[in-house]
Amino acid sequence: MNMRILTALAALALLTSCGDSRDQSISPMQSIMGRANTGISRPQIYRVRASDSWVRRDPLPNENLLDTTKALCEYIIVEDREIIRIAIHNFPSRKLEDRVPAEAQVSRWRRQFESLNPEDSQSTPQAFSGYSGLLFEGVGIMHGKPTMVLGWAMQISPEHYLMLSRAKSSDEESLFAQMRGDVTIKAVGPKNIMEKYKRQIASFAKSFELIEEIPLRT
Amino acid sequence: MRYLILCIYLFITIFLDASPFDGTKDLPVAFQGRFRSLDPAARLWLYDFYHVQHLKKDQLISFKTNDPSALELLWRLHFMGHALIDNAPLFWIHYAVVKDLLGLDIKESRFSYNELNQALSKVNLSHVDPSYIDDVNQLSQSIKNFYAIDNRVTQSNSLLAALIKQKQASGIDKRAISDAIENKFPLSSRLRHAGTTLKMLPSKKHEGEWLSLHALHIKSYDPVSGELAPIGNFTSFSDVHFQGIQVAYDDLSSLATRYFTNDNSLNAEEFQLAINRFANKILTAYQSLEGTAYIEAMGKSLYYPTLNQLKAESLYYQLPLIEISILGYGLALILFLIAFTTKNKNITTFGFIALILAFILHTLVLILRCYILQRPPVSNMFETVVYVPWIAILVGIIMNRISRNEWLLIASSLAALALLILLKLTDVDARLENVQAVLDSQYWLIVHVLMVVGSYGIFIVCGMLGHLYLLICCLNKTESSLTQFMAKCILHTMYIGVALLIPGTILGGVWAAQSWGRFWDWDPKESWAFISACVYVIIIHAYTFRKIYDLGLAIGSIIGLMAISFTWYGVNYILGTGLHSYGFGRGGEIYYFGYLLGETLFLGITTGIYLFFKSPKKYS
Amino acid sequence: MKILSKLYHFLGGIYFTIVLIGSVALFVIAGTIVESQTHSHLYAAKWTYGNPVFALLLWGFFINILFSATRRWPFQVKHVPFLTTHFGLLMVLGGALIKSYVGQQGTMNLIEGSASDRIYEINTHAIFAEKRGESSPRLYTLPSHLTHPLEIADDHDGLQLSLLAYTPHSTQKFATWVKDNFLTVDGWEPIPIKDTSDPVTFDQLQPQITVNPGEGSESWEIYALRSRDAEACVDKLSKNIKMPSLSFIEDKEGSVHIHAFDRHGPLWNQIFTCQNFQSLYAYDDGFGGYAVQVDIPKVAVPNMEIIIAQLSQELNEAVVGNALLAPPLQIFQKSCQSLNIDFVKTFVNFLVQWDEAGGWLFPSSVKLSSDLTPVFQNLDMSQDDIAPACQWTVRLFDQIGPDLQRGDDIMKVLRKRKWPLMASLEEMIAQHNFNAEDRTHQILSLLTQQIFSTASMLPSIEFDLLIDPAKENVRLYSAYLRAYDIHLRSIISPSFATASRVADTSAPNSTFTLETSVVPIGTPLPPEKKLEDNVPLITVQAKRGPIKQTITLAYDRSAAGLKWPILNGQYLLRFQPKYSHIPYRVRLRQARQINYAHSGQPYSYESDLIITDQRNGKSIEKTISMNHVHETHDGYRFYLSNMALANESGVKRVQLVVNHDPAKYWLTYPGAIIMCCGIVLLFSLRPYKK
Repeated sequence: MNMRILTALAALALLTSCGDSRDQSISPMQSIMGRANTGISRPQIYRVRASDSWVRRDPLPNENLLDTTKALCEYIIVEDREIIRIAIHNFPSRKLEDRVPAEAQVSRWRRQFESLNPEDSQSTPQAFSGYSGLLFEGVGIMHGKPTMVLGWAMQISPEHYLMLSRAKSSDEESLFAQMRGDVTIKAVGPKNIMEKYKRQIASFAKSFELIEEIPLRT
Repeated sequence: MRYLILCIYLFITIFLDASPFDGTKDLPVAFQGRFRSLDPAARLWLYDFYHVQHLKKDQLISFKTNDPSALELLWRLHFMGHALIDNAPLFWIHYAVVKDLLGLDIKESRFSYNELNQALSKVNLSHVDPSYIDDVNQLSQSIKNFYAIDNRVTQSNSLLAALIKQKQASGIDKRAISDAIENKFPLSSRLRHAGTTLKMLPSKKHEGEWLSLHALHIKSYDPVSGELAPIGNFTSFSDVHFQGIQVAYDDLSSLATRYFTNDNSLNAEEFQLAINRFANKILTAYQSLEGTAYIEAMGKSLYYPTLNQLKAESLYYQLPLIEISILGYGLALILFLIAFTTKNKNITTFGFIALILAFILHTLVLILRCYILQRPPVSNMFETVVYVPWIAILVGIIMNRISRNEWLLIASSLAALALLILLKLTDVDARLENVQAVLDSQYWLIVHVLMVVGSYGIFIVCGMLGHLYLLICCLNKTESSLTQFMAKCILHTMYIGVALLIPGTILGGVWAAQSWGRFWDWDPKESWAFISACVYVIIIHAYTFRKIYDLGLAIGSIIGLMAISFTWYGVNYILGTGLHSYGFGRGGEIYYFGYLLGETLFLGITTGIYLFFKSPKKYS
Repeated sequence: MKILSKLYHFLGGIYFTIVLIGSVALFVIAGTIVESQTHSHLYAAKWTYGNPVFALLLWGFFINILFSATRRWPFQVKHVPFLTTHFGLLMVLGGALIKSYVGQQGTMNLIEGSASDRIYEINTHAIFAEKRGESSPRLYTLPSHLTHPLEIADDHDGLQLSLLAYTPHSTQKFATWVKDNFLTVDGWEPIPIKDTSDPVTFDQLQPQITVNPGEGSESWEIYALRSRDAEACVDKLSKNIKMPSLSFIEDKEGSVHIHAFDRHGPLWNQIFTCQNFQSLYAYDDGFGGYAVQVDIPKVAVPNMEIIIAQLSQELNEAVVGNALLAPPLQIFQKSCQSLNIDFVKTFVNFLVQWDEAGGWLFPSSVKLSSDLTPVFQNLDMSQDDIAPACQWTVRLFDQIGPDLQRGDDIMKVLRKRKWPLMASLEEMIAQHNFNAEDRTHQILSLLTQQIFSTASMLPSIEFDLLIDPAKENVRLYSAYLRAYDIHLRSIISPSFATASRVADTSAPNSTFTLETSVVPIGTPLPPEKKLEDNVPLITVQAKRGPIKQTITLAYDRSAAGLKWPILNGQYLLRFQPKYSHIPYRVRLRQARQINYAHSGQPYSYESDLIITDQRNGKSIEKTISMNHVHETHDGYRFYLSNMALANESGVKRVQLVVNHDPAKYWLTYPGAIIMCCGIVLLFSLRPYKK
């Protein structure tokens, strides 16, 4: 008889213990404005999820952002009087062929080092949020200090690019032109602190996306 | 558990030690998608070519060695390259058609690299029977794998040195040289292609990727001095550990080269010490990794094995546990039969002890597999064929304890013996391997597969009882209290089996709804589970409503067994389609149909004899 | 009454049960065998599980269980296990029936970065129609077993579609340049295709027409042919052709090979297969139709790579054979030897750089590449016999260079500058008969030779020492080479240059573009045994008002292919599966396949989604994976079923299965639990009762 009760209990236990994992609602994402000459005409293009303890620095509203060497937005992590700087850039382009390949971006980053440790440096393919490109990890000496760079050089996929080239109005075109742009996310900081924040920075970068959905071909 | 393993392990190592490389048995190594201890990896590596886990005694001369172990062969090839055994019969070919196709001697079963290389270069794939193309391709792949064993690091180092010299001559500055080299020969790819053997060094940059020991000899360009320098720490071990390993390996490789070239001046003790020192360095360094996660996915992670798991794996491959279990069950069966004929209760006790001992070893197989793989042991054909007889024995023992009847033990040990011997005779993949992504859910694996596959074990006992029932009826020409008892047992086992099979199948539907998005879709495996359930439900209904009696029940149990055998084996190996078929097989159909035919003949003959000769006393 | 009672007892009786279970089992066995033979689940389902007889058996089950229970009325305690089991079974059957009538199941296709709320139902048929100027498309559902004739009328719009023909299986191709035995190129009259399988035609290939691609160009002869062996045809043509020609050859697969020839032979070619194109032009988003284009080059230029290789080889042979080199080459070789540098490679490299930089002498504005710098630093240009001549050449060119660049005539410039040897130069020019194109070069060449021949009489010039010696030397050296007429252009033999030509498309106006429309062609095939592989083909007549048009459409399973214009571009049509909208919008952020270490064996498939409830705008982020589904509060379940491109090198696509089973939680699953409990009860009570 005991065995029968046990069997029944076991069967019940099995049947009741199945369940789904919990949902988490979206914790607020921070939006980032695109590239235009003054603050008023800059549209909200991107969003990203950053840690609350990071300091965000936006360009001044009167700053002309058409110069692509200027970052759209910067995040700064401060620890032990040393800082990690994460800069987000975009590079709007008119035609698919005008884009600079991600490899070129990476080799530019590579050259910024005075010397690079080959054992610690590499670039790996990445794809997320409709973008694809390279993640560059570099460790070496920069400005005389041991430094680590984590850089994502990302481009919207060719298929998305074509969809974003088919705007129906001039307003949409100006938005799409921004959405088509290449993006780089680059974190630079002292090696030891970067090691510590590497995962956080990676998940920050991977949370980066366009606010608007990219239209789908139907 | 841990201590038990340790004790057995010590026992084994003390008595079996032979090769100086035995000290490296338990070192972690990446091999075919898993991190395992070196000895099993070497065995499987050899098995892939040779189809046996150690060299055959009569072929040692052609392999130019006197040590049959795979481990030593692997180390030898690692240091000396493959050229030494290019003429040794290493490659096993099963199908005569393939041998014929390649123009090889059909009577031989193993061929050398040189023979095969020549034969394969001549073969025209367009003339090959399509069903053997895969075999030929596999063969040429394994030739390539063998060829790739050689150490390419020295070569690539000297190539690099030449390149650097050329660049320096053209007055290019050091920084530019370093950039050019990294562009053309990225270090990450040099590391990755350093070698195919002995991947024992975890890469710093790619978690979960391990690199060959050859990588320790890679030289990289130092832009400061402008020279090639020994490579820095590329592993996820600490710098101190890395340097320790590098030094110990340097030492080991120079001594090993002398050892393998039969240098008589080599001091054996010194060599042994070098090996042990190297093994120690690796193990100490590995302690920082053991048990940590290296791949994290949603809701699950893959962990590096602990040192104990590595030891357990070595042990698992060294101990002939299944063979001993077979002997134990066989002995028990014989003792039970002797006890039955001589009516000697003491012999029954001995038989029971033998059965229990075999059962413990049998359990150990399952426990070791669970412990090493960290999952229930039911996700491939081999594991189910071990698990099903285990359930059969378990049910037999429990029911025997309740009813005190030896026939249950006889039936279950017969079932276990038949399955385990079948397992040894056939070529089922016995390796410890990763589970397929879709099966990787501990919860459902336990619930669905353990229940359904467990029911197979019970149905097999049920079917064995049916056989015994028919045999006894046939011999005695009448029903007796024994046959009545057996019919009751058949009914009980059938009930338990159905109570596991139907809910198990339904839960399988729920699992399918979880991972494939539909509850029931008449997939062949589902269909056959349904068919088996139908067969048993018909028998139970017919018996309950007195449409059939004990004889019908026994016959039904055998028909049910045939349905179950098809669900278990036939769907994967004969139908060969559908979502549930984790690992299709080939061959064996004839034996299987032979089994079905034999079963039918048995049913016909025994029932015929019984009905024809049975005494007029009717069962009421 | 008695019969009814008998029937009632039979339907609730054990024999009926056994017959039912037995026949269902036999049906299923047949199903599995059919499936293994045809590898088609759909085929098996059609004859067994999807068969009305099978459904009838299931209903029989339902009745049998119901009656067998009611037969036991009034119920007693001993009936509890029996009743529980059978009640559970009834609930499961009921749940399955409800799901098949009101449930939703379909697939959703997503790309990273995009979102959708459409689910497609597999193995359904519909015509997707877009009207010009309207943003929302229409979907006309067709029955799953297509029969014709079938009429669909859209009363709102006035569009009428009628299904004229249906074929269960077909293959779709696209006709481009050749349509119905005519070569069609936009702007040309259709040209009938000649079949070259006739040996007479093959021997006397004649162009069908001659066209002129534009002002200032030569005329082109056009061949439109069909041939089994396009290669042989091209060989034949290239021997026959005397003037620029263009051939369109259709091969037996229907691919069109386009070859352009000039006087010297084949110039350029491209193949258009009838399955896919490298690029396709859509006019007006498809309403204006689709077209393919080719850019045909008019001019060929020497293929530099081949020439450089050839030159290097010749020079190498000369060096290895110890042939006497021209003096400028000797000093270059000396410089290379002292630096331990490969002479041939470096010299050819210099010639190429000079050619690229342009100019009579190596221009001072162009930077020398780093591997050449040391050679020129080391080059001895101070030998007495050549130094003054080189220096004077450089000086002269510095003076007249700007004038020449302005486009002035060289003789005028020299006269203006009062070139002292003008008379003898004019005499030499009169002897030669220069053509207009390279007159300047020829004269410069003569001029340089004049300077070199009179060099001994000229005074030496002091140069500014601050100038980079390499930079100075390279100019002097190029003057030296000019004296021997050594320059990349001048040493390439003309015949060699013709043989290794490539079409030049870089210059403006060097190509002319041809275009043709793309037309779909569906070819019926015998149906496959594996029904899943069949591509149905329908012929539809569309009618709106007075306009009528017929179009043949092949089934587009992905619902992502081209839509074809009809009724003068008023509508776009596509034959595809049915879809419906769900109240949730799903956006794919990232999909990934995680493999076991050191193997391609997948460990996990995962997708990060943002699921937005369109009714209240609330979003949640969710990661789904195999064995981890997402289920909304109102019963929509999202499963990850498929992932294309399993690595990180590009943007990934994912297929989700979405289903909505309203009966699952209150009927199917509880029924299953009750049935399981019933079985356990049966097992624990019944055997011991006997």
